[in-house]
Amino acid sequence: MRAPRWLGPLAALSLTLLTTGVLIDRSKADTRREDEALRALGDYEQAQAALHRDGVSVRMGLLRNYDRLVADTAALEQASQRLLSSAEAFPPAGPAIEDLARSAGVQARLAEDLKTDSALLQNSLAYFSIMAASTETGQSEGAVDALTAAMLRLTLDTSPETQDLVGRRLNAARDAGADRAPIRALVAHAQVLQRQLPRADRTLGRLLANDSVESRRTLRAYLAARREQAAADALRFRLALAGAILVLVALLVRLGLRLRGHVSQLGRRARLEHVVAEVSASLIRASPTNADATVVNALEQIASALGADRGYLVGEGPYAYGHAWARAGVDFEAEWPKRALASDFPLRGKGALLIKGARGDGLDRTLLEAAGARSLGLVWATNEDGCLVLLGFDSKRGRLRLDESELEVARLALDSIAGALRRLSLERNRAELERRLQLASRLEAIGVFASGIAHNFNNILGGIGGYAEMAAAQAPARSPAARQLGEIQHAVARGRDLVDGILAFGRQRIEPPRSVDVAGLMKETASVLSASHSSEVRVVLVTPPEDLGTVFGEGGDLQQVLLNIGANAVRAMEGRGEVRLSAARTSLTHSRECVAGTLPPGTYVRLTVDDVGCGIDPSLLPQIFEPFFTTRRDGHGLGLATAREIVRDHGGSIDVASTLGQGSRFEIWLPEVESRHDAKATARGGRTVLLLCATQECVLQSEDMLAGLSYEPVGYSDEEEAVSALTRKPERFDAAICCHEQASIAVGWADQLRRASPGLPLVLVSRVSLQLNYDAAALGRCAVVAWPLRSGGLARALNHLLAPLGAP
Amino acid sequence: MTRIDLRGCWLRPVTFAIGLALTPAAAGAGGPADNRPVPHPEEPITPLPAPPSADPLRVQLGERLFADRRLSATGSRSCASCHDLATNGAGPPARDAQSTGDQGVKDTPTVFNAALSFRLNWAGTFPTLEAQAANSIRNPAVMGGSPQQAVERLSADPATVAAFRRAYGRAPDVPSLLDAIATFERSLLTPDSRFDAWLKGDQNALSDRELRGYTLFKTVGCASCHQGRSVGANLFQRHGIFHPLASPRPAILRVPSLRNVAVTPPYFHDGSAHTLEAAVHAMGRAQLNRSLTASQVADIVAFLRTLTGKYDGRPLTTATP
Repeated sequence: MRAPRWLGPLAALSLTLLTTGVLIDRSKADTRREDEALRALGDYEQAQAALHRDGVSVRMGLLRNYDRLVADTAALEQASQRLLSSAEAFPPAGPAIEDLARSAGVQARLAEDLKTDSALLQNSLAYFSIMAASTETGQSEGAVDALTAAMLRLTLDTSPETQDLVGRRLNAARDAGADRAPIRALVAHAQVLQRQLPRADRTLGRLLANDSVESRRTLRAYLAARREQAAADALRFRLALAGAILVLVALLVRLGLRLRGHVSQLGRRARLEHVVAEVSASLIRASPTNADATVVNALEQIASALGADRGYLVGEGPYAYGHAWARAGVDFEAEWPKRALASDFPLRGKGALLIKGARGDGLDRTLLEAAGARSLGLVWATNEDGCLVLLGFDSKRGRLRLDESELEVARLALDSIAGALRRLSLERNRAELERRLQLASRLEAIGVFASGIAHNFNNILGGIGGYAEMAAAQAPARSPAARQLGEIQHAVARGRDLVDGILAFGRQRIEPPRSVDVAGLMKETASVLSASHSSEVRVVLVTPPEDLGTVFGEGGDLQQVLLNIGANAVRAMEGRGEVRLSAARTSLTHSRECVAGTLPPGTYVRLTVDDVGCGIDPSLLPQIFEPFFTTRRDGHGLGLATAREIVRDHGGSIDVASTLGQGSRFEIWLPEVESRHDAKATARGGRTVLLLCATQECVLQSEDMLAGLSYEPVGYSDEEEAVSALTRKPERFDAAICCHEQASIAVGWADQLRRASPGLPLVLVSRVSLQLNYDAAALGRCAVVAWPLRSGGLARALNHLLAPLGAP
Repeated sequence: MTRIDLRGCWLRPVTFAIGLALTPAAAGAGGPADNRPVPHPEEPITPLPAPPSADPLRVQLGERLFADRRLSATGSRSCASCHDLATNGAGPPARDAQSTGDQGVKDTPTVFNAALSFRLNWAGTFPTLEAQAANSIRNPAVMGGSPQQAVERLSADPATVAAFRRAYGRAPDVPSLLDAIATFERSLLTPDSRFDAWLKGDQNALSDRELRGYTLFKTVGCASCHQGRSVGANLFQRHGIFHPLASPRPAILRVPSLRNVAVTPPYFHDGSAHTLEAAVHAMGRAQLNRSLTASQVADIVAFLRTLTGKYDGRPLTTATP
């Protein structure tokens, strides 16, 4: 299954959006929050270190300006705030950050205490040092000195022992100078120092101890891990980005290739259309004489444009002949392309099929196997007459340069060729019809004329024969008179033969209605020929092939053709030699000019009669089928003429190849008719026919014959019964047959039946005479069949009279 | 443990250092006039910094808001009502008699250099200028309104709204209101005092008496609390350590800045000292347990007068009712 056309561009668009929108954005490690938190932590540590350092400096008295402590505290608090504001992004680091914030708050308070305490301390230290050095203390110098020494120690060591010592010395100094203001002030300051020194040290100690080392370490480690994680994520996204870009490039390349494919396809299609247009033009100019060559040329041009090895056009009706072209060295399979029309392929109506290699066991594979091709393109249509026509191209080696969209162009070609063929076929038919009409009218004139004469001649011959017989009876045996009379009787017999021949020739023939067993026919003919001629002549029957095909027609007529030609062959060998009868099935891809007329392309059953006799003078060949042309003194010149008429009536022709002194070959070409025409022929049966004969014997015989033709006979031997049956139920009968040797009686019966049912088709079976023909014409819708009744003649007559079932 | 640290590491040298540091100071206290002291690299007082750079539009807007009476509930008071920028950044002593609701506090601190103070108001309640401003707007005894109400009123005035949009890119809201006021207040520094000139190397900036006063200021112990660029305003301290000073509440105060102290009477949180001499004398007794002589007080006061700076090119002056 092919992906939809829009899928490629859509995927490319999505990938573009994905790469530009999402992946690029994510492919850079976003560690801003981690970096900010790390900076805040760094600032925190720096501010804390500064605070501790400045706190120590303040306690040492090195730093008298508390602005720095204020700045340190503010920096610490600010860093703490920044950490707190980033805590939301790092829930796992929350406890550590809170601990640091809490610690910052504690340190800020301790710093405040340190400032306050130190300020007081510095105050009192300043006073103490001034007063200790001054002389205002007077007599109490000893106590003051002792207090000073103790106080100095306290500045170095704020242990309880020192505090106790300072307390004792304080009391001593107070006692010593209770009455003196400077001493009192000194003592007051000493008290402050006694209180503040340990306190300041405690505050500073707490401040310095207040360092959440563990929290700082935890937070730093956590943030570093986060950064690494972000970098790893970014790397993954970069890889994804690279992958997406690769896919995108691949998609774009694919789209580009597809575009190139479309462009080349358009070019190919234009070239193909050009070829088809040229072919159409040449087909329009074609005439019936060069039609087949033009069509084959057209097939070649189109096939070449498609890179096909073979091109062919097959079909029904006017296309049945078929046209094919194949590249040099490429053959057609036995049944291909005809088999494409077979019913097991659903190529009906209108359609197209393109197969470029097939998998599985589907129709595609079956077709390819039938064609013996690697790829195959077929277009077919049904024309206005309901005839299927199919145009195909295939390649045995590679792929056709054709795709589905170009099948339309192939269809144009099909329409063009089929149209041209149909036109040419119509033109050819018309020409053939004209020619036949001319010939038929000429032959009809001869036939009518000859029949009239022949009938009278028959009577005359009857007279001559009768008198000669009577005279012979009176003439003495072996006298010259008896011999002469015998000659007269011979001549009379020959005259009768001639008359019979003339009558048979003049008889009207109708399209053959049923299949003929060609093999049986040949066998019978061979035995008749052997029996009726000198035993010196051997008649050899070559067993016909199995798939000989089917011929439709009147078996008796066809046998007559074979007998006429066979008899000629036997005679040509002057009593000795071998006549060979053979049959074959042959296809004509092109029309064939035969001595007795042109054959259109198609499939034929060819019956061949070979002799090794005297041969025929080539200059005489065109005339041998003319009536009354003969080279024999005793020949009446009607054998080959009759054969030609019969074969022509069957849609075939006779060809002759002869070499003077070596022998002749007569080929009787009869079109093979496909089996479905059988059904059409028998469909005309099933009708009820009234049969009126002189005797019951004749009725039974004729009924069998009619039943054999699939008619339903109702036989009578009594005229009155037949008339009354018809009068009672005229619609029951489709036709009536009057069968009597004497024409006048048959015509009389027919007259009565005509009155009983005016429109009823009638068949007169009687001795043919000019008068009978006249009478039959006067009756209307009446056919004449020569007595005695024979199946073929009857079938043709009925067929002629009765419209096919289902026809209007 | 703490003690071990202190003893073992640094206390010993530090104590010697204390003694060493005190010795020159003590010696300089009574030094001859021709041997005038020059600024030591580690003076406890440093010159005032220059005002921080700020968006002039915001400073301008803050200045307008500082004088805008719509900030108060009744529309009768602005910040400038109590902080007169034309004189001392506070007000005349008479107005200080009015209570601001803070316990025992009856003196308006000056707004000048307030931005340098580590905490604000007498008790050091507010850590930032914004918090202090918001509180003053809310304080029923001061303005009695609310920042939100002030914003609503300002939003009705197109000119003010336009000024906010220019300065902040948005309509007035509480943060921008307070920020504008605070930004303006950060510009209210008073540089160019004579003492700063001396600190910066102008040896003739101070008279002998003033120098004497400064030396006394340091040796007596005033500089223990009053140090840094603001001469105070960077720590908390108890008052009345040796003797009571003023109203006992609040017990702990933010050490006030002594910048411009000469022009901002009265003194102490309760405004109980009306003159600088009285204040210096009282401080010496209460905080240092020293009875300063009149001449010592005069010297120190002379020094304190050199701390008066200039705003807008004019020296600050005492406010008169």
